[in-house]
Amino acid sequence: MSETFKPAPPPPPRAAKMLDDNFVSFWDIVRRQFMRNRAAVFALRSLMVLIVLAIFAPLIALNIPYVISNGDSLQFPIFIHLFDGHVFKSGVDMFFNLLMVVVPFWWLTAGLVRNLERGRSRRALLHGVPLALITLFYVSLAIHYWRLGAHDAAWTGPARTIYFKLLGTAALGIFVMLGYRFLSRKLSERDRRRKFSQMRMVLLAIIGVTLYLVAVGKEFTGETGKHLNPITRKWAYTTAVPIYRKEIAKLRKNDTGWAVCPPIFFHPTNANDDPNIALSNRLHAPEFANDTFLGCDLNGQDVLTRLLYGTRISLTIGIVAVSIYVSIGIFMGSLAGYFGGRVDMLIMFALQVLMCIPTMFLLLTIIALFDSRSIFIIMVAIGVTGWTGVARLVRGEFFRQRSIDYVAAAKALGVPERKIIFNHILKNSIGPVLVSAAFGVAGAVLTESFLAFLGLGDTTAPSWGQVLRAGQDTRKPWLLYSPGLAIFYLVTVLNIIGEGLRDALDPKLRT
Amino acid sequence: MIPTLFGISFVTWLVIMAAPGRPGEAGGGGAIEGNSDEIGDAAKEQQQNEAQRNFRRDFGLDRPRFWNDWDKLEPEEVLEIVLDAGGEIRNESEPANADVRTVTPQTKREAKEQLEDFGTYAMPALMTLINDPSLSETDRFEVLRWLITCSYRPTIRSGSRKLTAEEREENRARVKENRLLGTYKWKLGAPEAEQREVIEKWNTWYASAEHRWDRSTWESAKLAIWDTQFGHYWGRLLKGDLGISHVHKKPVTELVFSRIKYSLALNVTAFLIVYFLAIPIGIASAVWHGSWFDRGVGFILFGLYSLPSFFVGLLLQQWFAVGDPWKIFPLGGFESENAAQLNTIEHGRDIFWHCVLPIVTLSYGGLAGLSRFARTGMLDVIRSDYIRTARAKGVKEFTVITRHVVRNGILPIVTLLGTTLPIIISGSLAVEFIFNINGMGLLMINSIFAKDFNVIMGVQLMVGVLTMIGLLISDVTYAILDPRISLK
Repeated sequence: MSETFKPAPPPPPRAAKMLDDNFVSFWDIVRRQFMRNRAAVFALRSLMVLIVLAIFAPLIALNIPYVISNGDSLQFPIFIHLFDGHVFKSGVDMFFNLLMVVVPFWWLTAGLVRNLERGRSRRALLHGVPLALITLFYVSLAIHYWRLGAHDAAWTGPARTIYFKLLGTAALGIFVMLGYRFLSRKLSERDRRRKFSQMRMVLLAIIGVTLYLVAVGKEFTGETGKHLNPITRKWAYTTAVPIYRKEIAKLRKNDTGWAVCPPIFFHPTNANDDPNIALSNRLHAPEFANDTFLGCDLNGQDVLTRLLYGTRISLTIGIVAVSIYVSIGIFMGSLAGYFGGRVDMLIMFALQVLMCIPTMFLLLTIIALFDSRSIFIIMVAIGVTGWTGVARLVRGEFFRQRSIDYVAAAKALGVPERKIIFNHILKNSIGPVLVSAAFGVAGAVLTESFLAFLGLGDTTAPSWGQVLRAGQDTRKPWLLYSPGLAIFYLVTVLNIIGEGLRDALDPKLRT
Repeated sequence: MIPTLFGISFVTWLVIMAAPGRPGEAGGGGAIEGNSDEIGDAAKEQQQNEAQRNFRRDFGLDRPRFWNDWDKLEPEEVLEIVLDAGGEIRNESEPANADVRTVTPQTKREAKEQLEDFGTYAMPALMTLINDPSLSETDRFEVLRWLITCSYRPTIRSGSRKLTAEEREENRARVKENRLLGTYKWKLGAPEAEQREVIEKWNTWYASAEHRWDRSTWESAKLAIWDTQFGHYWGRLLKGDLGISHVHKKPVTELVFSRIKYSLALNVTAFLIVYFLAIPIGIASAVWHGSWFDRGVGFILFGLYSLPSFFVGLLLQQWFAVGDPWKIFPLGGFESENAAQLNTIEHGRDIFWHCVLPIVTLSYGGLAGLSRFARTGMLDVIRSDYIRTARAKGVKEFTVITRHVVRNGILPIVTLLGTTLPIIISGSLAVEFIFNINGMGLLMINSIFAKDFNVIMGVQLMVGVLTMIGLLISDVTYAILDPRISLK
């Protein structure tokens, strides 16, 4: 025994291992796998494009000019009408309009902070300069309207207070973001699960905005339109392509002013307000010269505009309904899976019963109960009927995970049951739930358009299914193909993302 | 099986009961208005009330939901409701008047409905009240009004079944009694002696009929459970009675069964097509894994999988039925209008011709889903060790595929039957709507627009039962195919 006794090197402390640059978390691996799937990445980007289109829809299609000058004063009507209850009648549109103002701030701030943190100052300019520009724009807009209000009594009131409120919202968002950013940086010395803190940050921001909307929402939907000058007001409440052409021609001819308008000068729902226009544009075939790129429907409303705003409805319903049923499913499934025994029996019985009734029939029955069919009722109905699949999935995962040693260890350490369920087991079994949620969003989009197609949807909202129904009633090809292909596109994209996610989570397919 | 059935009916019932507002209100009469002091002059109102009550009884709304405790009604309780029902109407904004009893229209209507619902249950309490000397004259008159209404016993109605002799006898007796009791009344402000005389008549009658309210504990308990909305619903359900559709004026059972054959014809055919096509496609893709066939089919199937069925239905109509570009198949319906005049072969051909587009629409989605599933299942099997062993020991490739791969790979597909079935049935909603086929899906959609709740409940129940039978078949098939599972 001449060898000297060498003590084994001490195991690296946990924190040190976490700080190791080579450490890759599970979600890092999943993300890398997902990014290798070209189809899935392409689908994800397509979805991003759709979301951006939905958020910025008013800048693309609306019957209100961006800027108008009638000789003596400059006005930005589109920004006033964003929160006008006459122009945007539904809460979903208001929410997306708010996002339209606020999202660029958040996006750019997040990019700026990330680049500064990593010391990439030149790339930070790429975010910083636009951020400064849009801030400058909104601030000057607010000041502009403030000064207009000083000259013209009609301008006092909602029109200018709104801008201060918007800036407030953006500031709130930025504040939340920065606060969380720094908090997460402190956290990251202990653990580097940045992805999670980012997710939490986004979640918190969404909650903040929602609360803020609820708090000041009433004022956003005020009758802002009253405070506009006659010309803009007329435009705002009609879908009058010929009228706007004439008006602008007049302005130009008299050399009294000018206007800059969105590329598609239509409103998604307001054509009904002016019967003449509704009649003249009724079932207008697609025509480039008339700006009706995809034609008009039975009410003389532009199909492209309706599809664009329909994206908002589809996405909202898809995401909210699936969030509802995933929450219910996770709750029920984890209860059944963790406790087993009698709780499991009871929940499984409920599941069995609900699975025997085809979801669509149950959904229709629930929707039949309500006289008003707002999209919120549809979201809740889809949420209440759809949770069985998720619950079964979660229950199965729980049964599998429950007997693994880490649960026994956690129990031995005296971790409370609530924490074992939600912090330990649930986090390990969330993968399949995510996959099913991605497919679920596609399903919810389909369900919503089917309901709208039957005429059981929200009749005031411009949904894709409604346009398709008009296609069935009239057999006009432009009312048939475009909405159908739009639904097909969104559903395919979501399905590809779901597939990609499933493959990325599958350890057998890991390379 | 039975518990699940019970669960399905319970969920159906619960959903309807959870509705804001009472079911059938859209089809029923409005509120009972008017408050006449003269009982004799109120014949018209009586008639209207009668219709209202029959409606409420037909829909089983005149009983408590789960627990009936009306057997032991206290006189004080009933008096309150009677006074509410006879109160002067005031606006909801006005304050209550201390001298006269004033109630809101809402309270008044609810009190009236409540008393009508009590029916004969309220008789003992009302008899106590009318003999109560401390009541004022007007109050006693109100009690008398309700005494007459509540003593009314409806005749036995049996629907389509013929009444037995005994039942007819009973009905005759009831009508006679109702008519007699209707005359036991006085006009408001009648002399004391006349009132006393009428009350005496009531007392004699009640003494002769008191045994009806003399129930044992067991009978009371039975009534408490069965004489409720849920009890009646279940009682009718056990008899196969799903109520009456107020749009079609027909029993729901008859309505559903007259429609179910169209849905079944479409669904079963589509289902068979899906299984007979999907499994070979799945096997072929798995066997030639990675070939151009596999990739091509996979791509097409993925596209089909994401296509919404209502869009596909419309496209097929547009392309093959409307005449843009072809006009080969009929636009909709299950058979031609002159189908009755055709002979059997022509009739069959006619139905086939009508069903091509609906069945294609119904089956492509399931086909896409199932083939993809079959492919993954077969691939799992092909990659497993015993297949390699079989090949290594020199079993022919064909035998390996048919005996080893398919036999094992088909099992998960059979279990999927349970989840495919509800999807296909749901799909028939869209297909029947688009192709205007008079099946259960269309019935459901039309009933939703008409708020015909009995039909909605009936269809949902029927669909639930069909799905359950499908699940049962899948379980049995699984047990037959997999020797490891035995039918205990």
